[in-house]
Amino acid sequence: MKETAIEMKDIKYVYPDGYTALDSVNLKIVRGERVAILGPNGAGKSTLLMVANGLFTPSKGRVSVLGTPIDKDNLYRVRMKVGLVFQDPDDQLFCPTLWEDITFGPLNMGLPEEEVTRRAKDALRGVGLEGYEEKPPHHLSVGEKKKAAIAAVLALKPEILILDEPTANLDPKSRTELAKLVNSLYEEQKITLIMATHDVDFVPKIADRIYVLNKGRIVAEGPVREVFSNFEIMAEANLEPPTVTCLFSLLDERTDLIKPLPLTIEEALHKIKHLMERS
Amino acid sequence: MFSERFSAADGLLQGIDPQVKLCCFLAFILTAVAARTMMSLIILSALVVTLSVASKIPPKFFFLRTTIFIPIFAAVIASPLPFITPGRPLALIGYDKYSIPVTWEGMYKAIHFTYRIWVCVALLTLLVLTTGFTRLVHAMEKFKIPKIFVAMTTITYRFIFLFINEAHRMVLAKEARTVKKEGRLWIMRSLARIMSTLFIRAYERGERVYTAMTARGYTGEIKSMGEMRCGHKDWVFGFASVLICFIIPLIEFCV
Repeated sequence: MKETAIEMKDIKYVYPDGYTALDSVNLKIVRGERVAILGPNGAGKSTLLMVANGLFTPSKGRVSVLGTPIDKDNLYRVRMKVGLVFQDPDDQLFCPTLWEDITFGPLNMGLPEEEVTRRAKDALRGVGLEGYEEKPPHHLSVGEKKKAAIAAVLALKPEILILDEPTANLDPKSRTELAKLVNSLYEEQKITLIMATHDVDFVPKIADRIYVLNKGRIVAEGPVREVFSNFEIMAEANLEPPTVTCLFSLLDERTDLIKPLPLTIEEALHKIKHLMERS
Repeated sequence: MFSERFSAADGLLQGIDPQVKLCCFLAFILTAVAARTMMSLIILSALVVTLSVASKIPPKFFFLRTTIFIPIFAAVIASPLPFITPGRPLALIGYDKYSIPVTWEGMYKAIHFTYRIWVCVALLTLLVLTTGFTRLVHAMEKFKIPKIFVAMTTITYRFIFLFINEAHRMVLAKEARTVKKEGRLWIMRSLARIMSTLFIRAYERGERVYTAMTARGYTGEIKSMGEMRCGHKDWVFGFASVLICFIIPLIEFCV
């Protein structure tokens, strides 16, 4: 039995203006999992992530992180364990130079300076931004800013890494690099990954399991392949399965040869080759 | 704006501790403001030129940056001086009965005034060009300027570019939807709308930045790292500066 990373029981979150962003949300993510929270715009994804990190206190329900329920006393400890990368890196990077931004978190933790320096250097190396220490954030490209924001969170050495819309505004190359980076973190540091996104083509590359969130409720949950095969649920949540999956589903109307449906280009290629050999 | 291009170069001033530099330049500026003779200003400008060369700042760039705008503006302000200062006439401007004399004393006064302003601007430019913004802020912190003020300055510096861009995008978006030449009132009204939207966006961004800071353990105080220490070089520079600031008034007094 694997240890639980984050567990939410019957979470309800109401904004001060009365808008209910989350309602009866139940979710359980175990350590070392890669989970995607999928949902259309305004589904409550960001709110869910804020609740997971202890930034928002739910109106109802209970959140546990690594087995301990979040309360007022352990709030700061929870935030150090659960690193949250914001959607807009400009919200996160607020210092004149990158170095100060990367060291901001570790310094808040009250670590000695040598340790702070070591962590900051490790984090910058981890995302491939060595030599950018003295750069001001406004001189970076969006892709670099994103990496910098991730480095700023990695410097906290979190056990759980949460990314809010990691691919938003990224060009294809930066997207591929991001997937590589996130997966290397997962493989090397055994970090638990949670990502909120509606970039369905990206999901199979970086996640094993999906929660589908729609209008503040979880409407589906399961392994990536299973959830993406459920076309009704996807459509209901204003989403579509990955492009290749859609394409093969159209081919699949007459024959069962193609099942299971491919999720990525590599899988599709493999399947096409296989079919060509058969015929 | 602060140029990070030159502050990272390997020059003389870049290597001086920002606290020492801040004090020395303040002293230089005070000396320049108090200088009565042209001689003192020439000595100070020689100093500025030497320092800028030693700090590897391109002379042409430095000259343009320090001369355009403020000193030219100063020259405009000083322009009536040659006409209204009594003294020995230098030339007559105008025709026949309608001419006014230009005096030697007035000319001297105007040039002296403009020159002094140039020296002050050049000194400030030199300080700003050779000191990274962060280090200047650190120096501010060391001089016991309240932390909240320092934090506000750094955050302003960081986000001002972002808001300039945002405002620019909004203006462009407005332009893109403007199909005919509009009246002044209409333009003012739409600008007011842009400003109010920008204000709301800034407010919301502020909230998000604060949340992001809290997510990384912010509890109300921005901690900084790295003690700045004065080395031999800083002592020598500081001592030399004090000496210069004493010698200049001394020469004025003796001559």
